[in-house]
Amino acid sequence: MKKIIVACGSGVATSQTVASKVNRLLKENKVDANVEVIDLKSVDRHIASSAAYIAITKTKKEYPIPVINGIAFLTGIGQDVELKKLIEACK
Amino acid sequence: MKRDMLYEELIELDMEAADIDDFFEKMSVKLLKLGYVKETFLEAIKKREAEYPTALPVEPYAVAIPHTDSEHIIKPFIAPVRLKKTVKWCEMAANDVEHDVRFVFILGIHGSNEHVELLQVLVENFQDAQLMKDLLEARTSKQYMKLLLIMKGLAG
Repeated sequence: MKKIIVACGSGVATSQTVASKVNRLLKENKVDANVEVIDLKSVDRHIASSAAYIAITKTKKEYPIPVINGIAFLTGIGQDVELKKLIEACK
Repeated sequence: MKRDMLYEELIELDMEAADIDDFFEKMSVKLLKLGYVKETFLEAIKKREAEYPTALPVEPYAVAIPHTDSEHIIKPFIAPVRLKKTVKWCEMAANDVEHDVRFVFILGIHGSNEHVELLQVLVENFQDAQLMKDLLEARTSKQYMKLLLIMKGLAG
């Protein structure tokens, strides 16, 4: 099971919503991965063990794993492109 | 979204605000007075918005969904505001992109998982051109409230 992380500014609203939606989409697409909501401060610690990072805040640095645009899942705009990227990252 | 987080008394139509901070200051006075938030709310929401902006780039109108940590909230709420004049608001995850925002929904989330569906419902409805047009033209808080209560996907 691949791990995907998502983090936002306060962890109360957007990251939870995105995690919920993405988990559902992954299930529908039969992808064996799970989205975990983490604290923004903990991102670095989880990078090594994650297949992708869904960002809902502006990322200031480069990461060795694919960074996915989380806003696309929130608004639905551009969601298909990001979902494709995510599924690729989980292969 | 839970209907009981929508309060007609928190609706503001054609509110005047010079900028985001002015908006927060005015709304905080009201939210504090009515017992929804703690005194720490104002500073917290200003700070958070500055660091993690919340304007969503949806069509037809960009909408802002400012919120802060649960510790500043006493009673969970959604405060729907329509500004008289648009205010420059930075986009979520794209801090340098600015939008002219007229519709703001302050989310007073208390940390339960109810808001998860709530956000999805809100964001989907924000992209309903007819609803946004109706919200733009509503004359009274009562009308505004009615429109929000019939949003698609809204649960008890």
